[in-house]
Amino acid sequence: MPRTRSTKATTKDAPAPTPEITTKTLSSVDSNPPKLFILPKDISSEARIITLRDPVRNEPSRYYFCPQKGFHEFTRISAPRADPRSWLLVSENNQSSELDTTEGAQEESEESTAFKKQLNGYVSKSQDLFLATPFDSLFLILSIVAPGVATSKGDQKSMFLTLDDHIEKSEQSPALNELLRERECRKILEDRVRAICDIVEAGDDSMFRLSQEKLAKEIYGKARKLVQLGLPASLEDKFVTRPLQAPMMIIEKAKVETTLDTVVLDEATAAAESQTTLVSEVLESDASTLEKSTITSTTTTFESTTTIVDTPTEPSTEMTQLLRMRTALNFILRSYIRADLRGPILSSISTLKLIDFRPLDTHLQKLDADRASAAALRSISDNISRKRPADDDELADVNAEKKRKKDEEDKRKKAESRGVKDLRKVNTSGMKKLSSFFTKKPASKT
Amino acid sequence: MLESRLEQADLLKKVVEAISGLVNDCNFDCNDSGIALQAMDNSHVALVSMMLKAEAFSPYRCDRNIALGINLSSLTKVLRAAQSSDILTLKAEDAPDVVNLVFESSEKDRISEYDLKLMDIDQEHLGIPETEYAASISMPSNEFQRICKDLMNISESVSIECTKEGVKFAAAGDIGTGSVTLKQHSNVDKPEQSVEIDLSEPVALSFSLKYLVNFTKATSLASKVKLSLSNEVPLLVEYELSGGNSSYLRFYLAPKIGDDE
Repeated sequence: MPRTRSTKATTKDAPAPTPEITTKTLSSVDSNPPKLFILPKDISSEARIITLRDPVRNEPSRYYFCPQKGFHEFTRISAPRADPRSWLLVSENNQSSELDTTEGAQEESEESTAFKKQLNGYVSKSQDLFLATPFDSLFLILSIVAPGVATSKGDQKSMFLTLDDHIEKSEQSPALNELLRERECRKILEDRVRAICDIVEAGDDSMFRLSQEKLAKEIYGKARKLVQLGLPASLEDKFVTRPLQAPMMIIEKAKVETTLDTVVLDEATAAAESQTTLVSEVLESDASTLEKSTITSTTTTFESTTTIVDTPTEPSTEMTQLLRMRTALNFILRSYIRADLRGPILSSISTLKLIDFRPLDTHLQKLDADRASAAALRSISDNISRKRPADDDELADVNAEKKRKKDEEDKRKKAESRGVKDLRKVNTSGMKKLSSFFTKKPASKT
Repeated sequence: MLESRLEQADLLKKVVEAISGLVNDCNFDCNDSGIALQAMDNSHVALVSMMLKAEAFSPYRCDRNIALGINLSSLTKVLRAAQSSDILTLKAEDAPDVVNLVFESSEKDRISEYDLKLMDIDQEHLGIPETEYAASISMPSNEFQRICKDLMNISESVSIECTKEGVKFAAAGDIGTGSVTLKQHSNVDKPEQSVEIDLSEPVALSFSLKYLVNFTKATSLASKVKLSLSNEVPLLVEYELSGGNSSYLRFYLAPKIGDDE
C-alpha cells in the first residue's frame, strides 16, 4: 500500500481522484496528445502515413501517401512562441455555434480516436497544425537512384539497375519497398524515375541510371515554374528585392503580419496565399500524376505578406528574373535535394546553358562594391557624426561648468540685497577703485 | 571666545541693514577693542567701515581675535526675529563654525536663540589713514537722505560744491537740472538740525547718487551725518553710533572723475 501511494504521489494532481480517472487524464494529456492534421480531400481509403527517409537529411520522417494522389509531406504550422495558442476540438455532434467555425471545420475532417471518445471536446495544448502538402516523389527517388555519398561517382554512374535494385542498394526504409509492391505506387515512382534517368530496356525490366542532364532539366523546370507562379513574398523580399537594391536606399520592410489567420481552402486557388502552398503547388504541378485540385491549406503564421515590396528604383527585369530563378533553384535544392547532389545539378544546368547567371553575378558584384563604398562613406560620416557628439560632450561639460557657475552667480545675485543689486547697475566708469586711494593692508589685523 | 551683550538689538539690526545694501558677505572682526568691519562693494568704488567699540556692549569679552564671516542677508533673517528692544548677545567660540545670537526680551522673559553658520570670506583690508579733509559738513542725516533721493530723480550723479557760503548739491540730467544748497546755520534748540561746515579750501566733487542713497540707509542710526571731502579723494560719509563711545559707521565713495557726463 505505501508503495502504490508513493508511485501515485509522483503523479498526484487531485486530492483524492479515482485511479481510473487519474490514469485517463494523464494518458490523454501527457503521453500522446492528439495532433491536428489537414489532409487532402477525397483521398483513397488506402491512404496512410508512412515513414521514409528525408531526402535531404536522410533521417526518417513522416509522409502521407495516397495511392491515387501520391506523396504528401507534412508541414508544421505553429503560432509564434510569443503568441501561444491552443486548439479546442469538439466533435461534430455537439459542435455548437459558440465555436470558432474554422476550428470546427478542421476538426470535422480530423478526429483522433482518442478524441472520439471524448465527445465533450478536447483542448489540445500544442498549437501545431500539420498540413499535408503534395510532394514530388522525384525527390524520394533521387536519393535512391543517385549514387551514395560514400561510393565514388564513376563507379555508380555506369551502372544501370532496375528500380528494385536501386531501392535495395539504397538505405531507404523498407516502407518504400513495401510501396513498390503496389501497382499504382510503382507506376507513380517509375514515372518519376524515368524523368531523371537514362533508361535501358532489358527485356521486361527497365534499367535506370541517373542522368545529370535530365535531373538538371527537371529541377530547372521546377524552378522556372516557381518563378512563373511568383515567388512567395518572403522569399522575394529577402532574396530578390533586397540583394538587388541599390545602396544608400531606404529599405522598405514589408510589414510582417504575425497574426495567425486560420483559413481553410478547399481548393487551392490563391497562388500566393502562403509559402507552403505555393511551393507545394509548384512541385505538385510538375508531377504529372498529381493534381492540384485538393489542397487544404492554412495560412502560415510566418509572413503572410499581402503586399510585395517594390523598391523605388526597380532594378532591371532581366536581373530580377535571373535572381528569382537562382532563388527558386536554391530553394528547391536546399529543401529537397541532398547536399552532395546540389553541385552537380548546378553545374549541369550551366553546362546545358539552361540559364546564364553570369550577368547577374557581375551585377551583384557591382552592387556589392557600391554597397561597400557606400558603407565606407557612411562609416566616415558616422565617424564624423560620432565625433561631433564627443566634442559636444566636452563642449557640454564646459557649458555645464559655465552654467553651474552662472547658476551660482545667479543664486548669489538672488541672495543679494536690493541695494547691492541696484549698485550693480551703477555706471562706475569715472570712478577709481578705492584701492587706488587707500593702501592695502598687508595682513588683516585680526 | 567672544561674548558681547548689546542692550539694544536695534543697533545691530540697523547697522546690518545699512551694510547689507552695499555688500553681501563680510567679516566681522572681533578683538578686545570691539567689533570692526570693513568691506567694499562689488565694484570696489565704495567701502564701508564699521566700528563697534567694546564700550558699546555691556559686557564685552573677546579673548582672541575672531573673524566671523557672515552672509549679511542670512544675518538679516536672523535679526528679524529680534525685537528692537531685545537684549542681544553675540557669542562665538575661538575657532567658530557658528555665531550664536540670543535675543532676550526683558519684559516677557522670552529668550530666543539662533546659531548662524559662518563662512570663510577672503577680503582685503585697506588701510585708511586718518585724513584731514578740506571740507567737512555736518548736517542732519535725514536732510542728507532727502537731498540724495530728490536729486536721484534728476540724475545719477551729484556734484557737491562746498564753499564758505554753504554746500550745494547739484544734479543735471535729461529732464533738467536741480540743486539743493544748504547754508551753515546752527540751531540751538535742536542741535541735530544744525548744519556745520568746516572748510579749509573749496571743494567740488561728483559722486554717484545711487551709492549715496545706499549709504543713507544708515540714516536711522544717527541723527547727524558728517560728510568729509577733499579734492581727488573719496568722500567720507560718517554716522556716529550710540553716541559718545566713538563707534561709527563710515562709508567711503570714490569720486567721479570728469570724463563722463
